Amino acid sequence: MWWKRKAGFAAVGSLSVLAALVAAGFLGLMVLRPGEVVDEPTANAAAVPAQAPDWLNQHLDKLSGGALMAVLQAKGVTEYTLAGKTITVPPRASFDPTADTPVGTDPSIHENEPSITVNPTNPRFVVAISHALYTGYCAVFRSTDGGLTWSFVKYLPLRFPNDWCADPVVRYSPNGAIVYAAYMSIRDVNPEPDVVELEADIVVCRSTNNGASWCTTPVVAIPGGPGRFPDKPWIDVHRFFPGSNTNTKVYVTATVFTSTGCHIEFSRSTNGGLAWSTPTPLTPTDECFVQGSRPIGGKAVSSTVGHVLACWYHAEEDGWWTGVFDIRCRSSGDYGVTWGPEVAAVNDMQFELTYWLGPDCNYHRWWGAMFPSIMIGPDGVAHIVYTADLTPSDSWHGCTQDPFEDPPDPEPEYEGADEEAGDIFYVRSHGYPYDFWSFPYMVSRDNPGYAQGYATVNVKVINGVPVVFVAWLDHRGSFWTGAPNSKYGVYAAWTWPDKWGRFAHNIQISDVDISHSDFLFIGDYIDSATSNQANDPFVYLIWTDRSDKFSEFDFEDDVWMKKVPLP
Amino acid sequence: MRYSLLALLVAGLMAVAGYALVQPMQKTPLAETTPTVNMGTQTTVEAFQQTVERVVSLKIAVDSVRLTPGSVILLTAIVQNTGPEEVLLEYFIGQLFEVIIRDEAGTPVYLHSDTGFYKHLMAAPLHLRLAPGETHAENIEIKMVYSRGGEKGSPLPTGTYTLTVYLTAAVQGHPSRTIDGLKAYTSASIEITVEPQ
Repeated sequence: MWWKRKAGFAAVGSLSVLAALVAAGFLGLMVLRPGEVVDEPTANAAAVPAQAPDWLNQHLDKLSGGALMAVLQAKGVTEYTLAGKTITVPPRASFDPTADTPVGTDPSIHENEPSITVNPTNPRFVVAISHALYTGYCAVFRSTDGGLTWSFVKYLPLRFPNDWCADPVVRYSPNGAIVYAAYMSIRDVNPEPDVVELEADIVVCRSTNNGASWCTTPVVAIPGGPGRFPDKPWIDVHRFFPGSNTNTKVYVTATVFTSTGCHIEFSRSTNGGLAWSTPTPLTPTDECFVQGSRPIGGKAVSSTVGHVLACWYHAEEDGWWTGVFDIRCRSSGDYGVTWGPEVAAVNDMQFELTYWLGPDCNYHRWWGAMFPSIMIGPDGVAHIVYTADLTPSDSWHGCTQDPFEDPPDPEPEYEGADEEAGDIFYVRSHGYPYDFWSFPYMVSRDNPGYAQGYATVNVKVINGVPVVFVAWLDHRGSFWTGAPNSKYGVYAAWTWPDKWGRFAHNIQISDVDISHSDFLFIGDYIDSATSNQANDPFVYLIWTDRSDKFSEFDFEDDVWMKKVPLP
Repeated sequence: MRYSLLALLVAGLMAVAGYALVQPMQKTPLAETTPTVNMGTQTTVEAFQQTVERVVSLKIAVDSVRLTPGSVILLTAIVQNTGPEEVLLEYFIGQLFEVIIRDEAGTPVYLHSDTGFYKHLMAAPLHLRLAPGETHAENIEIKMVYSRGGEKGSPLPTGTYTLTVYLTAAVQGHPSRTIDGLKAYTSASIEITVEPQ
């Protein structure tokens, strides 16, 4: 019986231990509770769960073959053992003409917000430009083998020595003789270290040798100054219309913020970017509803008759980042000297994006995806793509709570931005004066829904047919993580005249679909380019890549590109 | 009986150990709002609310906590790297800090980003690198008026208000959070009063 007694003691002892543990836990809570009661604003905040940088490793053996290879390539793994079998992983960068290709990948520099252009007459030369955060400059990269390999050229000069660069865009002239780079040159003009007082100019620097060397001092295209802050520039040319009337014509638009509001300004150069016209306001200057403008040159009829189109985002009367928005345009028939009336290419589009990418404003700045990307093809047809959110939010920043909701709405109609935070839409207009536009067509198809945004549109003539190409950043690949919109890749679709109104299926363009979203910024656009050569059936696509990242709090970005072969 | 005593001993040890382990993780303010130094004829009041797990601390100071309707308050916001390694802060132009003033009912009456155009800018983010112990300060002038709605521009009526500064920069490698519906790393508050002229 001794064993029963011992067992009895053991049972009692076990119960005592259990009870003591419960008591200890309770005691611990009681002891700890006073320290928890902290009357501070962060006490009731929902903390963002931090993920270990290597959290994906535990799932590698469960990934599909393609995904596993992509992840291993992104992580720089050369050999991997799976179920006792050693796999040799080819490097991600290769000379496959249609593989993702690194452009700017310095591990200490945050390369993002890239732009790309290809020599329309000789696609061997491709030039790219991007932010180089950490340096304060914008970086130029160059390829002389059609985008297969890239090299850093230089940081573009700024207007003053202590300026910093933002929002770079690069374009070839229609005949391929000049490469233009437009960007912001920003400075703090207040000598007090504790007071920030900013000024900026939109400047243009050019290269006449396919990007090998650049200007030493940029030219101001849209000036800033006290009470004038120009922002978000774009530059473009008569892309498909080379000739003596257009080869040296180049156009810049920007948003200018003043004490009375914000408006879009346009400036033009007729001598290859060496001198610029006094900027022309394209929108009213006594209100503030606009951002994200782009110009594009169209058909050149004569030395005095040539089409130019400029389009921009308009927040509409119901406010920024909430309700509906417009894409508005004006056109010029005389190379930008005078302008026709404002036209809504997209009217009362439902709905605006939130400032941050949802859900719950977890990710990067997103609202710039509403801004139009525009192109006029060789047939004179104008194309616009942009992003709208089918599921609206009443919180402008995209978080779960609007601090200014007055009175606080206990049951808000829409909470913060959800995972369906954007889709890609397309409209077109048949020709000058671009006063009639098609209804929006949704290009991205990703039921049940993740965010798509930051689209770029281009045209490539294949066998005489102008194929319209649309690419965008797409977060549908994040479905397997359980964290919607935490991952993204580049997707695309295209159409041509026989298919008007219907795009081909969405196709994943980037080799990898696992770029990790950023908490703050991945750039406010991606970009695309095409040449005019029949033996170059590619769209050159460039984007901010974060496929080597595993946390949105790792801010370092890279720039990659791809030559996308069209059918 | 032996097991019961042992259990009680273990329980006691666990409670002490648990307290010792968890105590450093508790969100305890290092200091409360306290009047501190004089700046000329005006009193500077510092607010210091910082959770210990944050590697970047936020302090705020104002030139006066007693104001008149429509007057201007000079706010100084100071961030400091309290960790052992360099930190990188990334933020958009004019958006290193956000300031919200709430009335006694907790209703926001002033949002600093309403008063400028910075929130509409699309320029590249800025980087601020702080070495261990290094600080960065910015002065912000705030007019005691409503910043939006039908009363936009009207002086705030007399009463007690809470001014909260949010560090809206993101800190590399250190998760931010949603604080009061804003995307922010940390925040600090101070109480101010608007008195009759």
